Amino acid sequence: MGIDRRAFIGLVAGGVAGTLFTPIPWKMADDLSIWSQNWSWIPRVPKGPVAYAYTSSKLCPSGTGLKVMTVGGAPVTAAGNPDHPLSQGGVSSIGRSETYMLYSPARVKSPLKKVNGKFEPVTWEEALTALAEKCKAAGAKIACVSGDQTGTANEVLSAFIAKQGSSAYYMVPSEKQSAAKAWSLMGGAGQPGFDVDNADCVFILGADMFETWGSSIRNRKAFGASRDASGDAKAAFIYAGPERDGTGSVCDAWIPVKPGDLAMVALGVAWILMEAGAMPSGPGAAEFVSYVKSNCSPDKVEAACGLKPAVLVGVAKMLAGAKAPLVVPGSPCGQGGSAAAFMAGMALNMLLGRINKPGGVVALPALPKAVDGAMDQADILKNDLLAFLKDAGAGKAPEAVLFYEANPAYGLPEADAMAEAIAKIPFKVSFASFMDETAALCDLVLPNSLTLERFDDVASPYGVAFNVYSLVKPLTKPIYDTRTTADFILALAEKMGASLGFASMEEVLKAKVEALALAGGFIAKDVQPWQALAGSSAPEPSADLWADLEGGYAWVLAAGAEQTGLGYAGGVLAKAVKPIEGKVVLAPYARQTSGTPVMGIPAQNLTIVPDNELINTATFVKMNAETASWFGVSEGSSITIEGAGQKLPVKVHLSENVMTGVIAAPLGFGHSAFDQYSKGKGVNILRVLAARVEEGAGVAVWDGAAVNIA
Amino acid sequence: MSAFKDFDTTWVMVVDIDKCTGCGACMAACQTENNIAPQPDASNKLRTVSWMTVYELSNKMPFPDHDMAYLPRPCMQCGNPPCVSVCPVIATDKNENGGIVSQIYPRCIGCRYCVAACPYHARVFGWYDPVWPEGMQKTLTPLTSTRPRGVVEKCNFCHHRLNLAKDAARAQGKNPEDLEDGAYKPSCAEICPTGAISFGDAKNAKHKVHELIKSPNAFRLLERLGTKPQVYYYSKREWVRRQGDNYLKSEKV
Amino acid sequence: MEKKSGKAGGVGGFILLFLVGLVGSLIVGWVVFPSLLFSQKTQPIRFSHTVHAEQGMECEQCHYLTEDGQFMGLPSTESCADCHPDETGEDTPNGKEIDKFVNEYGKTGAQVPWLVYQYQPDNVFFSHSAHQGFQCTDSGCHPPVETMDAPPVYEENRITGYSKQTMKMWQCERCHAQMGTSNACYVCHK
Repeated sequence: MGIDRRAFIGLVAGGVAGTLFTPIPWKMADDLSIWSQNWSWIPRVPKGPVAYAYTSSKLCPSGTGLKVMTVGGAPVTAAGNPDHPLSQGGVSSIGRSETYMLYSPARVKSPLKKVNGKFEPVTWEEALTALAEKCKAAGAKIACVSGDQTGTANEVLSAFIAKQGSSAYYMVPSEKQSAAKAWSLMGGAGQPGFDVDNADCVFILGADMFETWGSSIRNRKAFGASRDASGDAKAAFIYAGPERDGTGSVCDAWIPVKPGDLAMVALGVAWILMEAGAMPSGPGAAEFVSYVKSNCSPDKVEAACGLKPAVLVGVAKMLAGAKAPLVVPGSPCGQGGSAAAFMAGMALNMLLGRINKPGGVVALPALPKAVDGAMDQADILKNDLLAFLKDAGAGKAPEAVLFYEANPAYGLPEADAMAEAIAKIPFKVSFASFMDETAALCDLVLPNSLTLERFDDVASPYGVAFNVYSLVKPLTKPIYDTRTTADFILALAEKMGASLGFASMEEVLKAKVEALALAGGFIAKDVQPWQALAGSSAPEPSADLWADLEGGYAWVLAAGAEQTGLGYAGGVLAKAVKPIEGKVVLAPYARQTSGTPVMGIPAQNLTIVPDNELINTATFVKMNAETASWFGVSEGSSITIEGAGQKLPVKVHLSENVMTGVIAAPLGFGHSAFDQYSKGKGVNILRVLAARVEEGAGVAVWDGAAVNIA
Repeated sequence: MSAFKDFDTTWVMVVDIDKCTGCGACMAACQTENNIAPQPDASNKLRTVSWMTVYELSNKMPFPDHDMAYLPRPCMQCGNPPCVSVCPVIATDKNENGGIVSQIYPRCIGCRYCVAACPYHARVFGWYDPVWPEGMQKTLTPLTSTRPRGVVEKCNFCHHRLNLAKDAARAQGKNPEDLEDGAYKPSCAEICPTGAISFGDAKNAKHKVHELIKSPNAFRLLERLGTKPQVYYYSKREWVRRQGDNYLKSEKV
Repeated sequence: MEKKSGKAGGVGGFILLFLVGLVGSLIVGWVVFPSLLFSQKTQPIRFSHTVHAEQGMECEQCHYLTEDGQFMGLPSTESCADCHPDETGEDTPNGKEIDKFVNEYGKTGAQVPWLVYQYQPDNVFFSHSAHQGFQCTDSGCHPPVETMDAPPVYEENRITGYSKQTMKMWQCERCHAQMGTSNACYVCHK
């Protein structure tokens, strides 16, 4: 049967008409529009029950408690734990990064061994055997460098090298170490703490306490609580430092002081207090009085630092008139702080009678140790990493060095020299979670599991006025083939026949918690530790401390160490107080947005880094218009900073937040390792920063340095 | 001016500028809460996506008389949103009790009229597909849908948290339309270390912000445009309040 | 014009083939197309709601609202394993199905990848707690599974990837309008 043209048209017309009465066109149009929204390369959001789990941040130096949101059991975001005294719901951009950094492209995904200059994956068993051999061969010529300022892992690692006969355990320099050195020079006991919560007038001497100094979230919470928008401020804050930064911007007053002049300014205030009748007593008081009387009168301070006498008088009046004044000395960049400034600041606290008082200085007694043979923290802090690496650079390195949570090839002053020194160490192992600059130089990289994957702890971050202990517990299985370093070290010791008596970090922590329970203290729930310091009666000790800690609560002990030998160290101060000579002083500053040396810039934080610090690959340094006029530069000018034998190209951002004669420069950029979010972004200012040694104190200081500009 | 309705509930944010240290925790909180992808070239701000941005203010005086402040800027959720009236496809609207300006991504055609209309730069255009480094997409939250490139996005006061707070209220037998103070808080307000960000219903006398916004130190940005923002700022410093609008020298704030 | 007898042509042929086309396309459109559009999938476990209902279990034992208003629609492997910790060893169809669960999920701890008939796109926020006043099945949202020995066949749209039962926006909006509930965008979108 044939079909003619007309019949064919009939068939088509019938088909079209019929189709219009079927769902085909309408359903297809609808479905195609839905299909057009399904982009296979754009991820879908997860489905599953939302729950919350609690732990503490190890990446963030402030040691905040975390409330981690999980979806179907997988960690998704990290917020501050509202029931933790160091966070009270607040968290830094670093603490926030704890979840997504699990998947950072910079993570070391399995143990690596360097073969002919390139890393090759090895198994943990191979790594264990290789390292055991090397350690046996090295014997007592082994050292450890740790950047973990708060963890019991230090006990495991130091006990391990102690069993080998070594006491070469070094902490990455921090505010804690600077303070410990200066405090011991004054004859102080314990870890200095500052009760910001109960103070009503806080004179911040250099410390960037709302950004990098101490437990900075705690500090910010205390500051926030002191000024409720609906009433008057309950505490005054005065900031002295080279730049009106995050801390300075919210304080009631900013006193511009160059890094090298902080001690002089504090002593100028001391001079006024002494004129008004304050009398120092105790060891070194006589030298202190004679030094201050003859060198630190307001006119001499003006000659040295350019500060008007009225400014000093104003500070002295505020401190003397306050019920609970407090002086908080520290470094404007979170490291390399001046011992002289610390001692001068503490001398002010002593003159004001603020030692072991609510709202004053409360030094923390050492917490009991869990691991037999572990070194005391006070002893560890006496070891000087800078000196050790300089020796290593001169060919006096030990056979083997272990790097734990430490990136000294990037994060120390004169970074190039440090990296060269590390390269000269015969055998080096890094336990880095991320492929950082130091790990890249190492022979073995044995990745540590991250915070959310491991057992760990946070004990009394520097600066808090009460001992505080919180637990870090795994919320997820390790994403990659990583292990908890402490577990690995325990296995290593076992293999070498020098068992430390524990099979896992979890066991170590249980022993630690048992020891803490015997020390007294309480769980911070209804009564907060600062309330206990102010006189509230402490609640009963916890019935099940481990369970409470696992629930995210913190154990606290609000009691100051007894000070028997504390003095003014006038003799040391007299030698140590010295300005930085030079036309311009480079004043580094650190911000949490650029992460820490061991983690690089957290992926999400690159968006937050402001464009007056970093644009594309250029780092901006800040100077005011007057300083800029000295060099004939303007906004956006390219300049070269010379210091420590290195030259760095940077650009200029004009900012009147910076005092005249100072160039403020951000730390945390210029990584040569890590991932696309860190690598090649800007320059590392530490490369042009030379450390100076303060005479008398014998402490290396790099909160500022003279530099040349070209 | 326009016919936007006044709602029984008006969610407002009050930012105490005198407490903001510019640390960026609010931005970090926002990025991950709302599934904004990390951007490897974010060291250039030209095409970055950020719903919350912290600006630096200056009193424009030379050192040592200089003063500065930080100003975190979310979407203002204007009472008269200039972005809504220009949208040709009704992808954005202000039609829900509470006054939060909605943005529906699949509806958006990417014309960017709203971006141009917003006087606060609160709206951002996605120039690139959101791509997470391998595996990192496992940390996406179920709270906000991901957006393809080519659409406009903005802060919505973490509206999902309002929905969750209402759900929680229902489950506990409470009135979801009369939430307690603090029951609903955007991520930035929750996380801010100094507590500079307060949040609540301006019309509910039991909420703290109800009084806060009446303070003589409270102000809104470009108030004289008549946009009626639902974000208030607070500063005891006169020069800061002065920068909230284009005042003449002779005018008092 | 030459007359071609025995051949479909002319007006009659037009009408005939028009009808053939019409009927053919109606059959294709209403019968063939839907079966082509959807692929049929079966649930990983043939879960019998009737057996559980006969044991006297309430729906809320497995599908419940938490205190914070979250709807726990899918019971976890752990909660299933509370009652089914071990293999039954039975040779009955139900026994085998239980053993399949125990071996593949209970012992490994993996969650059962249930196919959900009503999953909405990522940008939809649906609150079960806001819809507590409605009957699950009578309101037409869910099939009466408590009377089913085997879960209904899951039909997946080959173009969109969504389940056939997925409720459309107009359905949500119509009901909201009828109930006098707001149809503001953010009531349902995220």
